[in-house]
Amino acid sequence: MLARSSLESRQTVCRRCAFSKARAASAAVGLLALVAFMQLAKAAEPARNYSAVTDARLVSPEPRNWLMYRRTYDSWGYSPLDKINARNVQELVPVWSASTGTTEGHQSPPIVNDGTMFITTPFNQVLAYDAASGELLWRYQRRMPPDIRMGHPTNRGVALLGDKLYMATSDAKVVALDARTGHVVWDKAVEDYNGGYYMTMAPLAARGKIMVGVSGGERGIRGFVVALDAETGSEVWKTYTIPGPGEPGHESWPGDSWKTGGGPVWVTGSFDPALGLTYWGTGNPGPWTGDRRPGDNLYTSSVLALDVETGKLRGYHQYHWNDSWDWDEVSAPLLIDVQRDGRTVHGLVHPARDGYLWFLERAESGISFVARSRTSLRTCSRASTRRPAARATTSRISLRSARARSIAHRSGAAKTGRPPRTARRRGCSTSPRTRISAARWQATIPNIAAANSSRRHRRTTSRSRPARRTSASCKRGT
Amino acid sequence: MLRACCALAVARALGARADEPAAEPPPEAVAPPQPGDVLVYALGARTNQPIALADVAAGAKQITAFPMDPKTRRVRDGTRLNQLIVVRIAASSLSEETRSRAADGVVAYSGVCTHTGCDVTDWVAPAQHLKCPCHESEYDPGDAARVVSGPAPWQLAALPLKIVDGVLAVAAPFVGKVGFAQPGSPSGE
Repeated sequence: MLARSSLESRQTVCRRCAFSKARAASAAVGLLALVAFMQLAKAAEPARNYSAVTDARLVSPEPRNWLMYRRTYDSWGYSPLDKINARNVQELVPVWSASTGTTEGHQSPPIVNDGTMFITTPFNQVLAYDAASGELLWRYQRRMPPDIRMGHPTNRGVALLGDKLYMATSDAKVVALDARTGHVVWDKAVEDYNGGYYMTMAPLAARGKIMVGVSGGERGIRGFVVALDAETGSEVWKTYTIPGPGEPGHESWPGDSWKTGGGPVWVTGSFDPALGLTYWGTGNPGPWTGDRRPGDNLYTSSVLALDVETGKLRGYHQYHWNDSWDWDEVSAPLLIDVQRDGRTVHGLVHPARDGYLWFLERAESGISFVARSRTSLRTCSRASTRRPAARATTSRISLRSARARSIAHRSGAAKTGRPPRTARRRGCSTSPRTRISAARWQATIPNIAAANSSRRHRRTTSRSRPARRTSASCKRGT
Repeated sequence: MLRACCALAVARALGARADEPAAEPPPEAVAPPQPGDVLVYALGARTNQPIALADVAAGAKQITAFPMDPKTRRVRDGTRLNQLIVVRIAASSLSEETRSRAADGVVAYSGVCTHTGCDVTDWVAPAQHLKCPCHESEYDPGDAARVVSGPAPWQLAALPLKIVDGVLAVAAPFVGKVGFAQPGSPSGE
């Protein structure tokens, strides 16, 4: 009933242009030469060198660069640079600082490409800085439609590809900007913000596509991941996180609840270039209480494997059935390969809000369960505080029927000591009273260091760092 | 993640799924409240029915409303910028400014929070304050909906009321800005 507003507008403010740079460089030459140089510089935008971002660079970024949300497609969030380390970090001093000019939660990592740094702010502002000097190169400001509900106005950063950068917006659009100037190249809606959809995530750029997911799990959306052509913004594929009628898993939703069942995707996915598969975490189902949508509610609170070329669902693992606790598992899994039982396991590792560290296996055929490890004391129920079985469940999608899969889930539930529904409806929490030991982490995912000895990431994994401490509480409708 | 109360958003979104092309609302449905417009319920069993003075209990939680053209009976619900909240405040708790806009203690404000545009749906009964569930901004409806606490940058726009044949009606256009603050425009304009 509430139609999309046509009142929006955008503006780009270029704070550093070819003009000023050319003028400074030409101070010693004659007026004629100055004018000629200015024109040359203006015609030959960019005023500043910018390294085009290729697929090859995204697969293997130079150590000095941070080209995507988690730096590498495996989502490690790890820099191989070692000039700043544990011994000298206390000696760091500020070199420059800058005010973004806005409040609210700033959740964008600085994305750095050969000396140019991009950050986003709430209300979808993009700032481009000279990373060395802090000089503001340009600023993009977006005027939100006045009738939008900006309940969560944050943004988590940009994606880079070619000479453009990409941002997902609070009004459910993706905007492509010229990375040199901040000028808008294209601006495409992926959904209607009046339907509860909005976006906060940094897009995932791969194989000429810009992939984004949508937020709004509390607003009656049906979540999806959509891929747009990086050059034109046209839609290449769109895959819902909740199966529609006739699709496997649809039976896990009663009545029309699938239409508004949530399953948002609001954190950038991982990507395995060898398999051609992207991995996305999905959020909580809606409405919040599970008894209003009895069933497994596929594929909420899950990890999905989507084909980068087609968007086809190639596998999944659901961490929580019929989630009532807001245990949305939107963080994409880390791709970690380990030696286990005499073979290399291509892993998906995910520290979950339920207090478990999950270790799954990724393959062309899908996703399968390997192990999970409890990282905190759970108080949800007696059952869930038991030590989980070594091999508890499986979630291969392969060719099995939806019914068979459903049975597999339930038998897995019995083995894992999954709490009964009555218990799961009660409020609960996990507390970090039990910190996982390094030895236990090793037992769950053995020989990580050995498996990665050839990689430059070795330093991180060989430390056998304990899993992060988990603290989740179960607020409901607060 | 976001635990904001978005019941209104969801309820209205269900009426227009995003995968169906949304029809543009007619101009009179998006026009701001006009003097003489009648206030009608926005939600519930009495949706689109006029709100009578007797329907608004003093000190009770706010009623969500839209203005309606009494001649054409067209409800101006084509934009949520016309979404209103109506409460009744004891005469002794009304500031002079607000008393001039009230009709028998009943006051109306824009229902769009000035912080990030959420629906102001909560009611703090002991303090008689309007509250936004998204970021806890509170407004005092007895005193021009000034900001009592929270991140909201300015008060809710006020809509002067009068009583016509026992029902609530608009006496004058909005006083103040409807909508929320955006970066680069400190005044919100």
